[in-house]
Amino acid sequence: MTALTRARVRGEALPPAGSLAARAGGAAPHLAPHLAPDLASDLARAYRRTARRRLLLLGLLGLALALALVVDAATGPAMLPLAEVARALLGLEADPTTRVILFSIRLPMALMALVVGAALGVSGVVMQTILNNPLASCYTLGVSAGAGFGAALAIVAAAAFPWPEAVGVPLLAFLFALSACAAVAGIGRLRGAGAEMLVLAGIALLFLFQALQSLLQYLASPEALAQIVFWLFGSLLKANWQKLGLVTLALALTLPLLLRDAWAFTALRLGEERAAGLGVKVGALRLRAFGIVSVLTAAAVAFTGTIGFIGLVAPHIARLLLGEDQRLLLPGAALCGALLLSAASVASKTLSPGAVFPIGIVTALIGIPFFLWLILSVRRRHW
Amino acid sequence: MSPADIRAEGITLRLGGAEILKGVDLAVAPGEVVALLGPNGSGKSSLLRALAGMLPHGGRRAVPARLGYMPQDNGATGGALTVLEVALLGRLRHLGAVVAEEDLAIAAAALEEIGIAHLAERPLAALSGGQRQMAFLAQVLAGEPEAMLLDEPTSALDIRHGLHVLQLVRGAARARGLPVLVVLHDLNAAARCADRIAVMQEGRLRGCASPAAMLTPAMVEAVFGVVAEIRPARDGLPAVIPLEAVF
Repeated sequence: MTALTRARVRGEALPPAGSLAARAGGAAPHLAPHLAPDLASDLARAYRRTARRRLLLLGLLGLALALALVVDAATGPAMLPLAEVARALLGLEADPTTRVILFSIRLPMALMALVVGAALGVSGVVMQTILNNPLASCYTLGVSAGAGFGAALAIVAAAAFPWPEAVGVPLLAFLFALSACAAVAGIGRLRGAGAEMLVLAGIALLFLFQALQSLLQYLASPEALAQIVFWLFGSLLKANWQKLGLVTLALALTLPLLLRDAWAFTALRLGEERAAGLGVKVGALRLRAFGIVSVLTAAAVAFTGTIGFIGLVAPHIARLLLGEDQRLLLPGAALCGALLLSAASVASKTLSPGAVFPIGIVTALIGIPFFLWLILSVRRRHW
Repeated sequence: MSPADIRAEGITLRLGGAEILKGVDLAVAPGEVVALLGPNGSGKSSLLRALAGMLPHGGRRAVPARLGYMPQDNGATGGALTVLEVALLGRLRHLGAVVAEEDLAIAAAALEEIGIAHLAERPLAALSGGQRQMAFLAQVLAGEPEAMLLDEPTSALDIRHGLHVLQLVRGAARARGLPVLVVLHDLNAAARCADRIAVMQEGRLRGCASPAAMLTPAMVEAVFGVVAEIRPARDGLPAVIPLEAVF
């Protein structure tokens, strides 16, 4: 028995004799007239019930994800039979042509959609939490703009430096995404790493990198310009197993680190001062988390280009479904982001037969109506 | 000095060039409730923050390790967090990947103690300001604090719940031997819940004594700029009737 319940059982924590509540017979019975005596254990049971329901929901999201993967892998210029795809994926005997298409082309793209979506979802939820801002995401904070500038620089400079484009573009995109984050964190640090300061610094950098990139586009040759514009649309077409491995590695390294701080993130949702009162080192947590998600975001956008919408929306969908407990919200945002990008990938291949739309365009076009429907139909306040 | 005291010695604080605290000495004994009064901007909240270790300050402070600090409610949403989850966060130092039975039981018991167990599954965003304050007080109690620093815990509560919460605070202080420093604006509520009243004015402590000794017409006029009539109420404690603001 705890000190608190012990005290209550002995009646010590009741108001002092002579007080109104004591005369009324204990601790404010009017507040909760319908409660049973063994209330605390009822509450605990209800909590466990909710937790189980949310875990189940997380499992269902995982199942939906597996389904989306199969459909995504089956969809393309040559439509593969779903059953055949599932057989090949499970390692069973399957048609050799199907296997080749699947393992050399479709699967890296389909898995890339999952991993990049998950990375964007996770980094979005962490940024929204540490910056206490429902609009925060890698797109609104200049990280994507930094990556875009880096990619544009690599494309324009490719004329002067004969480096392989497959290395230069993601490398510079990654480095500039990271430097955008470092600049935001550095500016924030000068003023005590307050949330508003970081958001303002991020938005300033967004405009700076956009301007620099416009300058490059203005100076670029027509061929380079076309390449830059295509990169900015965001696309999974260049996915291969190596790139997939790198983004997966970034996700696998960062997600456990973030999950270790899950309770601190949850506490931060109550505001900086209250979290600090509960023992969270807010400034250190914010900088640490910002650094971790910077690496994650930079890795994701470096290979696929600007996919702005997932990082903003996946966290809100996860929050609506799973609540604010970040032990579930972090993996939930990863699953929602993965599911959204996977669905967008299917849509990008089916909207117009024979053509693949850039996925960055499709995510926003199909995602925004869905998101608006969601926030308008769910009456519960979630932010 | 007992380790369970709250003790401030010569606390000074400068923020942006302004001298917010100009050397405050104050001690709160175990089981004692001290109400901190003073006009807006006199440094009450800053003193609490300094004591909670949240602001770099001059002078010395001694507080127990497990401190229950309840800041003013700034209306920060807390979004979809339920009231039970809010109370559970009071156990932050103990929480791991799986929530232990004991932590859950303590959080639930804290809600019951405050009298908001029926709100346990409601999201914080759906509560009134007063209900939020009670949820946050439950959070503080769930942390099993060794001392409490409460910043206007009753500012959004109606008079009945305000009294109820202050009685709970006093009861908890007595039962668990906690020193409690609570910032209040209501002079009459302070007189009823506190053992001593500390009055702040322009970053200095003007005095700290029993309600009857502190709450005098001269003090109220000098510190708050209000002409007041003060007479003993039926419970023997001073009742303050504000009559006129002096400018």
